[in-house]
Amino acid sequence: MNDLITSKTLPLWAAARSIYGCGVECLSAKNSQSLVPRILPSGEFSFGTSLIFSPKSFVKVIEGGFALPKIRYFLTAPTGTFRSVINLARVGKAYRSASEIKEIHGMLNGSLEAICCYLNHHLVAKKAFDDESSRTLTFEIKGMQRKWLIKMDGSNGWQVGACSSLDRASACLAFNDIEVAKNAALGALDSWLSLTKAEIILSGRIPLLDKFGYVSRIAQNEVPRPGR
Amino acid sequence: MKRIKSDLLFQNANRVIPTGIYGHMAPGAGLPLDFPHFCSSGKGARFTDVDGNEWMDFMCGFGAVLHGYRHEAIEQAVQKQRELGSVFNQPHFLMVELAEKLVELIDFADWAVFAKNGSDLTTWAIRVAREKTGREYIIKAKGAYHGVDAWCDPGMGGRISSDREFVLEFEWNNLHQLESLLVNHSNQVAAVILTPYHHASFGPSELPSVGFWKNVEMLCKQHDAALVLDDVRCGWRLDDSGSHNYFGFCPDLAIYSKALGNGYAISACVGKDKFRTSAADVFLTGSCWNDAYAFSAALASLQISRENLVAKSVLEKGKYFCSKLEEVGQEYGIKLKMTGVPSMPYPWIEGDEDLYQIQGLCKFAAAEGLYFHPHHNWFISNALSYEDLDQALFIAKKALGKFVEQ
Repeated sequence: MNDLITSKTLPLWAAARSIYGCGVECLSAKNSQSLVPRILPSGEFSFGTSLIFSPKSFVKVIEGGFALPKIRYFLTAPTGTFRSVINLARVGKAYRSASEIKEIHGMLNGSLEAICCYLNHHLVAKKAFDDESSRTLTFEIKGMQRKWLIKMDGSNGWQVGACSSLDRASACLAFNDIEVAKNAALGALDSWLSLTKAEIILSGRIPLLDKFGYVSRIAQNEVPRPGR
Repeated sequence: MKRIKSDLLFQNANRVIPTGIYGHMAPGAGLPLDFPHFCSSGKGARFTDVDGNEWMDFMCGFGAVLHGYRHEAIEQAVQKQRELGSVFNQPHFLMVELAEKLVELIDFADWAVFAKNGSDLTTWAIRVAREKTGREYIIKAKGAYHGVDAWCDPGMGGRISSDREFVLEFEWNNLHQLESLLVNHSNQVAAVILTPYHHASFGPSELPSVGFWKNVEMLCKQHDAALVLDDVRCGWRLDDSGSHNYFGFCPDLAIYSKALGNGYAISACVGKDKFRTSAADVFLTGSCWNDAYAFSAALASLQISRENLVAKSVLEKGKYFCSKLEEVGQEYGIKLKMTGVPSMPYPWIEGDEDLYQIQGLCKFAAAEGLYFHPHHNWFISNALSYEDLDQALFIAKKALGKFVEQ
């Protein structure tokens, strides 16, 4: 599938991974499986086994508009397709309301998933992280146990996963509270100002966070987000 | 430390300046919650931030100040020139005086040119080397900083793939790698550009190994590549006549800035006679580069350096301070090693590859009014007296105690 991820398809691929990443946090394991994304050789994007969108329709879905998936799967695999549709709607709701902690965790996880796609597939980002494969990054929200770890996982590339409280990464980004984390996930945070207001606290290997910040800004500019 | 105006000012700055403060002084590059964002004044080895906090300084404007802030003799020289003017249609005659002074001071120098920043002339110098040799490649040490231009800047934005197409890198002190690059790119390398020792940020400084410079010099000669010394940061902190004397070698071209003007923006490139014609053919100018204030500051600064043996002085002060600070670290079980040369030491804690400990330590120091940077080499100001250094050590001991307690 890597061959199908090009500079043209990367933004939508990152959006698809982001939706799945959000689903992993917000939905049950079974339901989140219905959102596992793929790019098909036809250039279409699928969720689960049977919910398929053209790139144009997928952008509409992300932006909250009405978009028709490929209709034939509703007829041949109605249950799976319907489950994916429902779960996609649930993720959409998470982004719209963003009121529950698990929804914000979901958005954050989704954002990190999208950035990992860029680390793995965007030429400039890949080059920037060439020398960093032995390093790891953690993300946390102060006062919460849940932590995220980004690390290189062999041929799978950069992956985001859970992190134990004992893991000490090469660099750490801590959000001061859940609201800051939410704004960060929504791309609504002025990171430079936040640094001086202790809303974001950086520690460890700062050049690694600098690079990560640069890649995240590229992703933020390119990846379609709800309501954008 | 009180920090109200600094934060308010940063909010304003962030509205009208991308990132508020850019480059190596950006909050994220240091300690965003502990260092002030903006300064208001300085005198000697101390500066005051916009909230009125006084700091004992170990960064010297990131090296731009050697003799201390507002050094009397330098300020007098500049004041005298202020009554006459700064920039004119033609260069002020002080330009010639300064060029003569550098040619007299620096043993290999036959000519000098001036600009405002190190980058202006590191980039120009490699162009001079390219002009002279008719070759394209430049070799530098991996991780070395030579300025803000696209061929070498540490950032990521605004680059195109061709920017570094002709820049090769080797690990500092690895002569074998350097030789391989020269052999593999035979007759294609215009210059090898290096700092006197490796003082990259975010890692311990590395001194040249025994024979390193002599071998570099020899390899450059063998391969007809220019040896360009980037003495921007070290200049006048290791030797009053150029850092090549400290390490015992002879470059073809050398670039100075920072301490040269003691806070007034000026940079200089000096070179051997054989590069004179090429230097004449690489266009060089800037709107305010013929700045007589900066020329007068540089002349005064050089005179002070020479009369007071300032390089020797800051090396000795640094040696005193670094050894005592390492002892304080040992007392608390912290394996602190002040790396590099003593006049511009980089603090490194053994086993602290990801910098968490040094960041913690510098935070506690900042709370006590000591400006110890966690990611960049420090600079010993010649305005620091031994009493000041003892005071700094006393405060550092207190800070280390709190850090260890935490």
